[in-house]
Amino acid sequence: MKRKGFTVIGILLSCIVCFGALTAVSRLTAPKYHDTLIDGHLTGEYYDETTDHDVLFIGDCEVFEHFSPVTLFNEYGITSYIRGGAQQLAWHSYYMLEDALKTETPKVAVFNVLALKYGEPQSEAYNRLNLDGMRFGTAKLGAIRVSMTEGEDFMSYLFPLLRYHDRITALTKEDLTYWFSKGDPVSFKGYVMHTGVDPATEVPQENYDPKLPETSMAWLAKIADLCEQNGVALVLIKSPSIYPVWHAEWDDEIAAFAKARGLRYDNLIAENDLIGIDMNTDTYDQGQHLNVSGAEKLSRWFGAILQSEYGLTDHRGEAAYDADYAALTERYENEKQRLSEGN
Amino acid sequence: MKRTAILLLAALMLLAIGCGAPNGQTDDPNAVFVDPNAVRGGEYGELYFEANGVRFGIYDETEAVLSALPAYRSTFTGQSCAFETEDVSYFFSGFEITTNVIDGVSRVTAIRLDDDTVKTPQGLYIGMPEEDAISALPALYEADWNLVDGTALLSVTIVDGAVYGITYTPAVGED
Repeated sequence: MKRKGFTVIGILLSCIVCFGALTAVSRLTAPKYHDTLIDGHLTGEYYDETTDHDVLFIGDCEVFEHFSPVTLFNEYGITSYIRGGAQQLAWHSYYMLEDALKTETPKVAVFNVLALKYGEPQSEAYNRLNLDGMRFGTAKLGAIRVSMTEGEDFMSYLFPLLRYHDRITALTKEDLTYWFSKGDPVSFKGYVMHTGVDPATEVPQENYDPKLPETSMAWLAKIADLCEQNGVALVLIKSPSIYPVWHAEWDDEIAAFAKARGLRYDNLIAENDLIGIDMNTDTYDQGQHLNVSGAEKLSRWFGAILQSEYGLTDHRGEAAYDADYAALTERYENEKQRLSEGN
Repeated sequence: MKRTAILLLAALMLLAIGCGAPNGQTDDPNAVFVDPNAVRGGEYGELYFEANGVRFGIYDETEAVLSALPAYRSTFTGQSCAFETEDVSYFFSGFEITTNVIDGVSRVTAIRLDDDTVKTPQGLYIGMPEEDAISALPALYEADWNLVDGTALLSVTIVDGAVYGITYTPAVGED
C-alpha cells in the first residue's frame, strides 16, 4: 500500500519534471524576436500595457511604422496602441482586434487597407511573427486556423517545440539572454522607429488584379461587423507610401465599401502635401515606409481628425496616463537620439 | 518507479523531437524557401530578352547581365516589413529588371517592358494589336498569353485588343 503511494507520487513528480523540462526547452528554442526580426515581438508587447486606449490601429507595417502614439498623446492627449505586425493580413487584423476587445473597448479602430490586396495566407514566417506572441484564447485559435499555409501544422502553433526543436543546434546569445525574460519592449506602444533617410525614386510596375480578393473583402466586412457589435467607430485608411502601389481601382472599391457601410475612408497618399510629408526626407526606404519624421507629421495631421471627428478625450493631466506617457516619451526620445547617431 | 519516469520522459521527448518540420517547410520558418533545383540560368529557350545587343533572361546572374548592359538609370530595393530582402530592381530606358538573391547568387527574376520604345526579340511591344502579337509567336502561342519555355514564363496582358503589358518571370513548377 505504502509502496503504491510512493509510485503515484513518483509518477506525478516525473510528470512535473518532464513538463518543466519541456517548457524550458520550448522557451529556449523558440525565436525571441528581440534583437533580430523584432517585428515578431510586437504582438506580445500589447499584453504588458497598463492603461487602456481610445484608439487602436490595426494593420501591417503601414501602421506600426507610420503612426506615433507618443506624438498623438503629447499633441492631443489621445491614448492609442498599434496592434500591427509584419505583413499582418486582414484575418490576422480581425483576430488581433477580437483579442483586444476581450480586455478593452476603444472608441476608434483604424484599419490600414493595404493588406486587402492579399486574399490568401502568404508565408509561414509572417504567420509566426504575428501569432507566436499572441495570448492563448479563442482569438489565437481562430487566427491560426485561417492563417496556416499549406503543409503547416496547427499543433505546432500551440506547442512551438514541435516547430522549433531543430534550433537547439543553432542557438544564439539572444536565445540565452531572453530565455526566461521578454526583455525591454522594442516598440513604443506598437510603433517601431526608424530614423534613416533614403529618398523615393522610381518604383517597379506590377501586374495586378483590378478587383481586390473576395476573401480579404469578406474579412474587412467581418472587421466592420465586429466594430459595430462593440460600439467601436471603424476608420479605414490607406497610409501614405508610394510602394507597394495602391491602385485606383482598389481605392474606388474601398471607397464604395466605406460608403455602403457608413464608414470614414481616408486615402492619405493623396494628402501628402497637406500632411507635409516629403518623400525625399520622410522615408527610410525609398517611399515604402515612413521614418520617424514622417510618422510624427502623419500622427499630428491624423490626430487632429481623430480629435475633431470622434470627440476623443484629452487625457493629458490624468495621473495614470501622464506617468505612462512621460516614461514612454523619455525612452522614445532617447531611442531617436541613439538611432540618429547611428545613421 | 524509476522505469516509469524514464519511459514518460522518453515518450515526451520523442513527441517533441521526433516531429520534424512538415514537408515543404524549411527548418527555420523565418528563412525564405527557394528550391535551388528550379534555378537554372540560360534555360529559357526562346523566351529571352535582348537590349543593346545583350541577350539575357530568367535566372541569369545579375552581375553578368548588368556588366554587359549600359548603365541603369536608377535602382529600387524592395523592403519587406520584417526581412531584409534582396529584391532589387534596375531601371533602364524602356524596361526594368528585378533581381533576387537565390542560394547566395543574385539572379534575374523578372524583366518588364515599360513602354513602346523597346520590343521583345519576337517583335512584341506595348500597344501592338493582339492579332499581330499572336502571329509574332506562332510556335509558343496556345490560346492564352502565359507562354512557357524552359524556366521562363512570358506573360502578355491584353487590354482592349492590344498588348498592355509584357513581363518575363520564372515558370513555376516547369522543368
